[in-house]
Amino acid sequence: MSTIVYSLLLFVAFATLLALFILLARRWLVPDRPIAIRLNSDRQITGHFGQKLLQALNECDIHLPSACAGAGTCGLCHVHLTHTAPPPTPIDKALLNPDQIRSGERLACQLSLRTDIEITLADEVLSTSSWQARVVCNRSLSPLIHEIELAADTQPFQFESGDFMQLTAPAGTTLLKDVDPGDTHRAAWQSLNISQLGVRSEHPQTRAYSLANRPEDTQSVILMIRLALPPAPGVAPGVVSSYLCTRRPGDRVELSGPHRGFRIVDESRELVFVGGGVGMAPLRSMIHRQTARQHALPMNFYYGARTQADLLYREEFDSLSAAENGFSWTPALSEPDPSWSGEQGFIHTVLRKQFLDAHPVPASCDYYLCGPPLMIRAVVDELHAAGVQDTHIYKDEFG
Amino acid sequence: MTELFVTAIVADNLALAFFLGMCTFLAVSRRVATAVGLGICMIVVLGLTLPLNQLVYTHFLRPGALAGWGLPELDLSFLTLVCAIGLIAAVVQVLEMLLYRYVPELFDALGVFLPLITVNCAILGGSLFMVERQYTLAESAVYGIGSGIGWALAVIMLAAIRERLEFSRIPEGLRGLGISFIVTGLLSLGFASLAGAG
Repeated sequence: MSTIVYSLLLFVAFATLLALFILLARRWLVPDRPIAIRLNSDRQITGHFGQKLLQALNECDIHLPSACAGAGTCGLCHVHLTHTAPPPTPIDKALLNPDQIRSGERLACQLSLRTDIEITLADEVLSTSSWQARVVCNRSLSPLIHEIELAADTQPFQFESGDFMQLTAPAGTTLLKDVDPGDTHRAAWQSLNISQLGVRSEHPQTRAYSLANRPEDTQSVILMIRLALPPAPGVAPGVVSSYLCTRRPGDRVELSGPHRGFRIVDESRELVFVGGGVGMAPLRSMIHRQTARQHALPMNFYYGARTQADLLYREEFDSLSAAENGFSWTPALSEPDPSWSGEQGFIHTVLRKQFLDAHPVPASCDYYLCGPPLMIRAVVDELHAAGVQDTHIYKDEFG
Repeated sequence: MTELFVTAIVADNLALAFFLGMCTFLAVSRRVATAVGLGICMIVVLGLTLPLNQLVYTHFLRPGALAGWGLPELDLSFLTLVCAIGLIAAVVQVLEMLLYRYVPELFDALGVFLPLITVNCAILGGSLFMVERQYTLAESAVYGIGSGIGWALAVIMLAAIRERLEFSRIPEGLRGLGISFIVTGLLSLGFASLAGAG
């Protein structure tokens, strides 16, 4: 009996001592002290020791473009460090090119604040605002994809095709039974059998969505949101996409932007757009922009989807290509039903058969790709095989 | 003392003779720079925890250690394992804070393997050998630093070989961990041949 008492006493004393030792070391080594961040040498904000720069900037209402919300996968949140830049992390090296690293650019989401720093930001970043937008309309384009229209903060809404917005879902619970699938897609939605699912988030979460605005859509922000399904049974669906898909007209949503995404670079070349799923959004914006500007050379749009229900804006593109203004569109279905008479198979094979093999000089076109990473990789492989250089391939991956 | 030191580095090498701490050994041996960092961490942790554990063991846990407190019969040696782990965890945690503060590049490069040193079998093994072989305080300090140097030497050698192997033509099935196991085995044979050198 005495052994039990003594061993307990000794062990408790020992553990208490160790805890005290760690607490003292923490106090000395990891101080919670403020770090000064100088912006463009005329403004100063304060972050905490150990905090990521991106988070510190966000807290001061400076919204750097960031499609992955600090996960270190998009490479958009790079900032220029005016004096000494810390050694690049492996993620910096993977996402920035050597010139950028040499000139002192680093990813804000990877940079931990340890000493006072001075950074340079573009004026457009400093002027990017964040606001609570009213939901004007939320309709489902396919069982899983919603088109959400939000009122713009300024009239007219200034944007460029290819730009993206960042939307924040507050902490809280979202239930998929609140999704309104619309009459057309109700049966398909119910057959997915996911309306009993829900997702809970302890912290606000931010995600990036490309603008689907046509040039004439200057009153509102139009986004296409695909509900991110659980990747495996028992896992929750996407936090932000669930939140957005359940919004009703009149609700308020926090967003910032527009942030610079990928752009039409050279208008004097033949353009080929290749998209899959919600990768439609920036391409739709670009195609309408080029049509409105009366693009002189042909424009081709290859769009991959699973079934006819997943073909978004079908009438819109049908009428656009019927107008004989040099635009043609080729939708392809990977899982077509018998009534489908169009192209079948994955979009990269259709692109090769219909376009690359038939075109006299595929390398003379510019290619704009947006879609899931697997699709992008397959398309890029086909383009390389057809002799297209990387300098003529522009892509926006989402994963 | 010299003999103990040299044996701890060579013939009793924790990595290559006892195959302790293999997961870190194989995972953090892709780059020499990282392996050097990890090696230094191991030397520090082994060099600190062994004498500290020796003190805790002799003054509190060993049979009759608390005789001075009027408890000559008390044997708390069954607490050795849990006390050793606790102490190692505390030292590693402080080391982690030190690196984060002063060598952030190494902190980032070591990643999750730094906290994993806590449960690195080489370090716990060192402490348990110390108890089993009944080292004195000085001996355990020498043994701790020696075995730390031995482990560091082994991981740096493996990393240097693996860096060179990146440009060799290795049969596909052996690439990565496969060839590392073979190299580790060869290194181990080499070290074994130095037994008795102390």
